[in-house]
Amino acid sequence: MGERGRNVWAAGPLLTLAAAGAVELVDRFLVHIPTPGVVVLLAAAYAAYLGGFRAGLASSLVAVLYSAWTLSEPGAVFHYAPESAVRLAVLLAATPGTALLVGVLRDRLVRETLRAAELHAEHRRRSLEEAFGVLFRHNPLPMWVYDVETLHFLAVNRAAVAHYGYSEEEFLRMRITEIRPEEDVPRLLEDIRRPRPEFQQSGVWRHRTKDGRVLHVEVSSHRLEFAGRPAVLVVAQDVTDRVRTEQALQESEEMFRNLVEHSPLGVFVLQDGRAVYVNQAAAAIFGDTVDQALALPAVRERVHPDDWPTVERELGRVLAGDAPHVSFAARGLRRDGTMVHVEVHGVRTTFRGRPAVLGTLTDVTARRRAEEALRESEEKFRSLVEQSLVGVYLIQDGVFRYVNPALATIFGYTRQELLEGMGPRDVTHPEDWPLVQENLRRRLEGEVEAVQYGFRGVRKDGRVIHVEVHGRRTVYEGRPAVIGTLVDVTERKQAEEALRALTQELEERVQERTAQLEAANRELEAFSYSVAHDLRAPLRSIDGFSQALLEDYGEQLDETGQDYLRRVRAASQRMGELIDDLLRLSRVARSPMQLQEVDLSALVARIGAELRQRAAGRAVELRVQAGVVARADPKLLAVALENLLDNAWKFTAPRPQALVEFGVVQTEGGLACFVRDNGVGFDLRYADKLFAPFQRLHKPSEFPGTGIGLATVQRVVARHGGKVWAQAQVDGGATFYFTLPGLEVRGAAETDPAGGGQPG
Amino acid sequence: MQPRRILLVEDNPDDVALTLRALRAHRVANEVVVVEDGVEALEYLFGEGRYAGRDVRDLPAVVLLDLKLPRVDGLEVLRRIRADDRTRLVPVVILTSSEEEQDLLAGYSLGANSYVRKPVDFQQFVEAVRQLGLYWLLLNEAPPPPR
Repeated sequence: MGERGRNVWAAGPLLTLAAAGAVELVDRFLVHIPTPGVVVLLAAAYAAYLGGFRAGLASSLVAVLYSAWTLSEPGAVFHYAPESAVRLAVLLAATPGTALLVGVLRDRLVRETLRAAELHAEHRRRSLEEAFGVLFRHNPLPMWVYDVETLHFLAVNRAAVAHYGYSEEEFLRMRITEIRPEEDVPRLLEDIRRPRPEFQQSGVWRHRTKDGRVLHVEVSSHRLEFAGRPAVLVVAQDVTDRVRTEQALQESEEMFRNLVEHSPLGVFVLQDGRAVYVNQAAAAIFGDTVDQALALPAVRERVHPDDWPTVERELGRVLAGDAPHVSFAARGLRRDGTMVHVEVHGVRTTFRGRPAVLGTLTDVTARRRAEEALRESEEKFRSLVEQSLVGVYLIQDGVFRYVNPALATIFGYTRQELLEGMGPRDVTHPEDWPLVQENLRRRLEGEVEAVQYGFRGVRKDGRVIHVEVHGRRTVYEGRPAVIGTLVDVTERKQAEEALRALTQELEERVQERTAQLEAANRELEAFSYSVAHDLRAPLRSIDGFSQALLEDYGEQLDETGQDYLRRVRAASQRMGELIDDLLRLSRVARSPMQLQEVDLSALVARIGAELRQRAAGRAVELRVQAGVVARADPKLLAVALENLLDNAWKFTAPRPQALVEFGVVQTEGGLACFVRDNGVGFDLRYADKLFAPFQRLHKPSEFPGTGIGLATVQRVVARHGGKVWAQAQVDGGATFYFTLPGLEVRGAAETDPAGGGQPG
Repeated sequence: MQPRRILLVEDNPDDVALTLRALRAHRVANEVVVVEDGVEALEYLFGEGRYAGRDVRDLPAVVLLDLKLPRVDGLEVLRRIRADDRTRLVPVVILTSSEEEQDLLAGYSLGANSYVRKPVDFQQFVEAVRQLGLYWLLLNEAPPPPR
C-alpha cells in the first residue's frame, strides 16, 4: 500500500503543474478571472490525491473538461452570474464525489488483487518450508538450531545425532555449551555475545561427542527466527581428519625445517643467480648471517673468480636438467676476503613455481689443509726414501709394488725391471726362500708386526749377496702389504766371517797351548812327585847308613871321622827339608780352595801356642787382636800364618824380650792384617827378593831356613786375591801386611797400629 | 810257640837293610820275612807260587808295606789283603816317603791300620804298633852284645 501512496505523492505535484498550465490556458480565455479556475484545479488535484493517480487523473480530467465546457463558452467572457455560480457549485461538488467514487472502486479492486497475490505467496512459502525441512533433517552434515538466549538446542538433524552420539531427545535437553570441551566454553560464549551478521563462517571449533571424543568441526551459522524466538542455525562439518593431517604435515615440516636450519651442513636454494634460501651453516661458511646472504645481489660475489666458470657450468647443468645432480669442489671467498674450500652437491628443484637449485655446502678447508700437509709430508718422505742409501721396498701379492733406487742398485736391476712383475722370490737365494716366504707370511697374516732378519739374495748378475731386512706389516690400497728396508751386508758378513775364522783359529791355538801347558803342568807335578819320592830314597840311604855307621862303628872312627859323618847326615837331612818345603809350596799352589769364614785371631793363638811349646825357654810375648775374621781356606791360611809366625819367632831369637803382634790396620790398600815383631829386621832394599822361593836375606848360620816360607805366604795370599807386603829396618823389627777377602773385626776389639817388630 | 813273623814288603835293599837294622837295634826278635814286590807278597800270604803249600793260617804279626813296588803296587796288595777273609784282619802298616803322602792316603779308606814314614823311625813304629794293640806280638830279645 505504501507503494501506491508514493505514486500518489509523486502524482500530486504533476497534477498541480498540469492544473497550473490549464489555468494559464483558461486565463487566456477568461481574462483576469482566475479564481474559479484555480479553485477547480485545486479541487481536481485534491481529487486526484484522494482517488489515486489514474482514477484521480481521470476524474480530474472529467471535472476540468466539464468545467471548461460550462465556464468558457467560445468567445464568451466570464461573467459572474447566478447560473455560473450554480455550475461552479455543481462542479465543486461533483469533482470530489467523482474522485471519491473512483477511489473507492479502485481500492476494492486493488485489495482483491493483493489478496490473490498473498495466497499465492503463502502457498509457495509452505512448499519451501517443507523442502527446507527435508533438507535440514536429511542433510549429511550435522545441523542444529539453538536459542540465542538460552543456548538450548531447539532442533537437531539426524546427522548430528549420528555424529555426536546423543539422541534427539537428549539434544533437546542440552545446551550447546555441553558439546564443547570445557576450556573452549568461554571463547564460545564470547563469540555468541558478539553482534553477528545474518550468516557467518565461524571457523574451526572443537566439539565433544557423547563418548568423549574431540572433533574438529568447521562451523557456519545463520541467524533466524525459530518458533518466534531469535535462534541460530548451525551447520557443523567434521574436519578432524583434515586437521590432523594438517597438524602432522605441519609437524613434519617443522621437523625438516629445524633439521635444515640447525644442520651443520650448509643448505641453500639458488634461483636466478641469487640465494633465495640459506640456512645458518651455509651462511656461516662465508662469514655471513642468513640475512646478509639473502641480501647478496649475486652468489658470484662469494665464489673465487678462478672457480666461477666451474660453478656456473655445474649449476647450469643441473638447472637445465642435463644432470640429475652435481657434485663439485670450489673455492669461495668469505665476507672478510679470506678463502674457503667448499664441496657442493646440488639437485634441481622448484621454488615458487620456477626452477631452482637446492644444494648442500661443506666447508672442507681444514681437510684440504690436512691433505696438503700430508702431501707435503709425503713428498718429503718420498724424497728421503728415493735418495736413501738403504733399500726400501713394498711387497704385495708376492710382487714389488714399490722399490727405491737403492734397492734396485743392490740387486743390480733397474727399478722398471723390478716393478714389472718381479717379486722377492726372484732376488732370493733358493735355499733361503722358505725363510723369506715364512717371514713374509707371518707379517702379512699379522702374526708379527715387524721382523728383522738376514738372508742371501741373488743379484741380476748371479752374484750371491747377504742382505738384512727390517720389515713391518702395513696396509697399501686397503689391503695388507709388507714394507721394509734392506741393507747389503755382504762385506760386513765377510768381515764377520773372517773374524770368526780368526777367532776360532785363535781359540784352537789357545786350546792347543793350554793343552801343552796342562801337559807341562802334569809333567811338573809328576816331576815333583818323583822328587819327593825318588830323591828321598837315596837320601834315606845316605842318612840311614851314616847313622848306622856312627852308631855301630862310631868308636872305630876318630873325632874328625865322626864329624864328617855328622856333616853327611846334616846335609842329607837339610836336603830332605828342602824337598818337603818344595812339595808344600807346590801343594799350596795346587790344592783346591774351600772358602769359609775363618777366625784368624784364634788361628794365630793356636799357632803361637805350638811355637811356644817348640821353643821352650824363649820369652816371647804374643799380642793378638781379638775377633779378626776373613773368608778364606782355613788350611792354606794356617800354612801362611805358620810361616809368618815362625819367622817372627825365629828372628826375635836374639831379643831377651821378644814381642810378636797380630792385628788389623787400615792401610792405603784397605783393611789389612799385620804380623809384627821386634826382631832383627832387614834391609828394605832387598825386599823385592823377599817373596821369591829360595831367597834368603840372612845367612843360614845366623837363622836356619830354606827360603820357601815367604814364597808360600805370598802364594796363599795371592790365591785369595789379596796382597802381601812388608816394612822393616835393619835391627828395627819387621811388619808383614796382607789383605784377604771379607776381612773384618767383630766386636769392640781394639787395634794397636803402633809397634816395632822384626821379621825374617 | 814259634814267634809270629813280620812280613816286610820292600823293593829297596837299602830300606830293607835299614829297617832290619832298626828292628834289631830295638831288639825285636820276630823273624822278618822280606819279599821284594807285591806279587811275591800275595804269594806268601795266600800260599801260592813260590810259597805254595805254606800254611796260610800262619798269618804274620804285622805287614810292613811299601807303596811303590814293582809289578803289583802296595795299595793293590792292601786291597787284596782286605778283600780276602783269611787275611782280612792282618794288621798292615804302610811305609811312606813323605808326610804329604800320608795325608793323601789318609783321605782314602784303604783299610790300612797305620802309617810309618821311612826310614823306619823306631819310636814312630812302636807308637803305631801300640795303637794297633800289637805290642805283645813283638818278641823282645836281649840287647845284642856290644861289638
